[in-house]
Formats: sequence, structure tokens, C-alpha cells
Amino acid sequence: MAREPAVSAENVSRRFVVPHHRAYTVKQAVLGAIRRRGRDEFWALRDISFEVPAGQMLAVIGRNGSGKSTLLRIVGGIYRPTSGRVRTSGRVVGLLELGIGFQPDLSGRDNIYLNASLFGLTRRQVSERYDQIVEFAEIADFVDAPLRTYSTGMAARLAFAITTQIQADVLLVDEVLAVGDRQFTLKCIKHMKKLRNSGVTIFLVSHDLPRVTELCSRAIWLEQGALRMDGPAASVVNAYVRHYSAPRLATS
Amino acid sequence: MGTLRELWQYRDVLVNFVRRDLKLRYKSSVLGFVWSMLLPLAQVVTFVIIFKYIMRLGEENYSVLLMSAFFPWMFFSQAVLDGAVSFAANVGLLKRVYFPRLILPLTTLGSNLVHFLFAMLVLCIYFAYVRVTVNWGYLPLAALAMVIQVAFTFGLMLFVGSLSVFYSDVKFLLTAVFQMWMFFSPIVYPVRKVLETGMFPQWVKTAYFLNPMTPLLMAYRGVVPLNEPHKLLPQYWQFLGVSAAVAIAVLVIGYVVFRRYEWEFAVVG
Repeated sequence: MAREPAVSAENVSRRFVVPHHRAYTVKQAVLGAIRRRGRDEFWALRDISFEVPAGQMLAVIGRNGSGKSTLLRIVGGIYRPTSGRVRTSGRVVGLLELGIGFQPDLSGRDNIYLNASLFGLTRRQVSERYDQIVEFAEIADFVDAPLRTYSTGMAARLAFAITTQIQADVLLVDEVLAVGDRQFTLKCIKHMKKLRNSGVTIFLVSHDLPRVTELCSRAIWLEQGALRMDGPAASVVNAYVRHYSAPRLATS
Repeated sequence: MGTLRELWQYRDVLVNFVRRDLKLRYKSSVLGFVWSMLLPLAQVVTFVIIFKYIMRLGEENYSVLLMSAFFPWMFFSQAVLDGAVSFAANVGLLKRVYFPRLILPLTTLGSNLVHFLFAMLVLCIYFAYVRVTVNWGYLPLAALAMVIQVAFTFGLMLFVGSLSVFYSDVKFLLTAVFQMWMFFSPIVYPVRKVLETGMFPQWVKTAYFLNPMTPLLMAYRGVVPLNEPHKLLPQYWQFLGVSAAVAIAVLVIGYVVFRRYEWEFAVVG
């Protein structure tokens, strides 16, 4: 018996409207209504369909502006598709950036509770994991100091330590690997492998192609909002690399 | 129904946001609260000097009358002005993480309500200090008026909050509107003066009491002797009814507008 997919997208499209001159004030809006102006629209995603079985680690690759982040935001519930639909099962947590909602003037402790609750942890769950977070972040002596007194490295460690405690069935990761030093990146990867092995479904948006092949079993390649290829990570990455390194004789 | 269940699931986000707002406002200290009361108290003192000693309103208990309407008004105007930017100031957050968007205006309402309750404590201490007799019988009416005020406030917050994501001058317009609105409501002067004046034709007086805030502020003042609202104004209950109806209408309209645009907040900013 086939299990219910963790994420399924059916003919998902997303349009964005770009006015030529956006009215930023009521005054401009009133004037703009008098002199009507045109607007452009573009489709960030066109007719995307796929199913991700529970426990799969899937990479989303493509050039900048190909619709990767839009896709992740739609799966994460931040945007709604213009047409089509996405169904998810279980708790979906988007990890689009580290340290979301961090307040420089609040203590490390307050920021832990604030940030963790945005990732769906209850107060009780945070209290239970609090010591682990502080230990992992190596900030024990500074938890009651305001976050603005932390070094960049400390703040980043704290942000990451909180994310290691996220409870998710589907985790959406966007380029988080790109920040921080090498050691930090390795830590992140180790943690993601752990999550993958414990059965969490993971969407990974990344430009780090060797890493994609190493971590993910499957990849989808987006090009100008359309699904260009969907298959085993190694073959999609190969095709992608070949496509962009091939000399473009035809166009000249 | 689904909306309420989702809000319940995210209640910790709301609690943490409210705590954050209060901590930032008070800078985590008792003195911080005193500090935050400085501006409203300075205004109270100014009004007392002007209207009691210079203009000689000749009103008994003027300062008590002033404060019992002024503090609820501050709660109202501050919540709506903060609410005007509750989405616009958090677009970065809305782009990066999902949580029910209603959490943001609820946070603004919640932190302003807590602040108001602290301010009411100050008022109670002042009441005790000047030994004013309190009409306890009017507390339920004041509580009912507060419920109406909260509904009205939240509806306005949703409406102006949704609009100001798209138009940056909404807050600017609001500041001017609230400045005038305050003086067209019974706060710095007694209602009696409006009723007695011969300068206004009847329809202007009717319009004055159709201001949804007027019956509410009169209700709060009802706890002060000689200011029982229905004794001042025979049609008081009808005007209170209008105020409640307007509050509910504004809440519904605000919610519909919010629902219509909530999915654009993360896109526009």
C-alpha cells in the first residue's frame, strides 16, 4: 500500500503583478486612478506537479530567479498559488533564514523562546530543550545578556542551535548552508543527515551541486518557473551542469 | 472555526510577541513603566492646569473625570496607530515564516491592553489618593463599554493595518485624524458643556453623540459621581446601541478587508 505523500503539488502556478509605477501613498493611488497606468505580470511558477513521499530528501535546483524560493514559500504556506494546489501532511516548517524574529535588545533567553515559537515549538517544548540549545550554542555565560552584545558568530550559533530542536515532518531549507564558515556548514550538513535518517522529509534549495548529489536522492530542476527535469539527484545535476557549460553555438 | 483552532495552536507565538513588546517598551524594568507613563501624565497635568485653573471649567473632580476618559482614549488611539504598522513593519517576518497573520494585530492589541491595565492601576491609586466616591454600580457598564471599545479598536486596526501595507501615508493621515477626534470626544471637557452650549444646532449635537467613542467615554465617567451618563443624556442608551452597532460593523469590515488582502502582505513588501 502506498503511503500518503508528504507533499504533493498539482499544477501549481504563481503569478506576480508588477505595476509600472506602484502607488506607495494614498495620494499617488488617487492620482494613479486618474491617469491609468499599465502593469506587467510574470509567472514565477508555471504548472508544477510532483509528489514527495514521506522521508525523501529532495533538492530544488535552478538558476537565480527560476522560482525555487517561490516554490518553497508556497509549500511553506507563505504564498498562495495563483492556481493549482499544494497538499502537505504533518507539520511543515520553513527554514528560510536563521534567527527569524531575533530582537537585539532582548536577552539570549528571550530570543530562544521567541525564535523557537516561530518554528512551532511550544513554551514547554522550548523549556525542555533549553539547556541543550544553550550548550550547543556555547553561550551559557551570556544567555541573560542582550543579543546585541553577542558577536556575529555567537548569534549565528544560537540561531542554528535553535533550529536543531525543530520538530518537523517536512522541513524546507533555503540556502542556509551558504552562510557561516566551513565548520559551521559541516555542522549543518551533519544535522541534516541526521534528520534525513530519522525520516523527516526535506526540501533543500541549494546551488552547491556536489552537496546536492551527496545528500539528496532526488532533484527537481526549475527553469523560468517550469519544471524542466525531475529524477535521481545525480542525473538531474549532471544534465543541469551539461546544459549550462555547453557552448551556445546555436544562438550566435 | 479553523481559524480559531489555528490561532490556538500558535498561542505561544502571540504570548512571546506580547512579552517582547512589553519588555521593549519598559526596557525590562519597573522604572521603564513609570517612564512610559511620563508623556500621558504630563498631558494630564497640562490639561488640568489649562482647564481647571486658567479656563475655569468649574467642574468638580476635574482631574478624575479627565483621567477616567483620557486613559481609555490613549489605549484606543495608541492601539490603532500601532496597529496601522503591525503588518507593514513585519513584512520581513511575514516573508520568512508562516504563522497566522492575525497574530500580529492581536499582539498589538494585547500589549496595549496590558499597558492600559497597568495604567488603570495608576488611576485607581489616584482615585484613592483624592478620596473620590466611586459609583461602583456603574462598573458593569464601564466593562461593557470596554468590550465594545476593544471590538471597535480591533476592527479599525485590521482595516488600517491592511491598507498601510500598500500605502505608506496611512499612519500619517491617522495621526491627524486622531488628534482632532480626541478633542471632538468628551475627554478634556465634561459632556454637560456640549449639551448646554447654544453655539451648535441640534444636528451637530446629535452628530457629536453618534461618534462611537462618545457613549463609551461617558460610560467610563459614569463611575464618577454626578456623571451618570443616562442622567446627562436621556437618549444615552440609544447612542450606546449605535456605538455597539458601529463597533461590530467596523470589526466585520476590518476582518473582511484583512481576509481579502492577507495573502498579499508577504508579496508586496
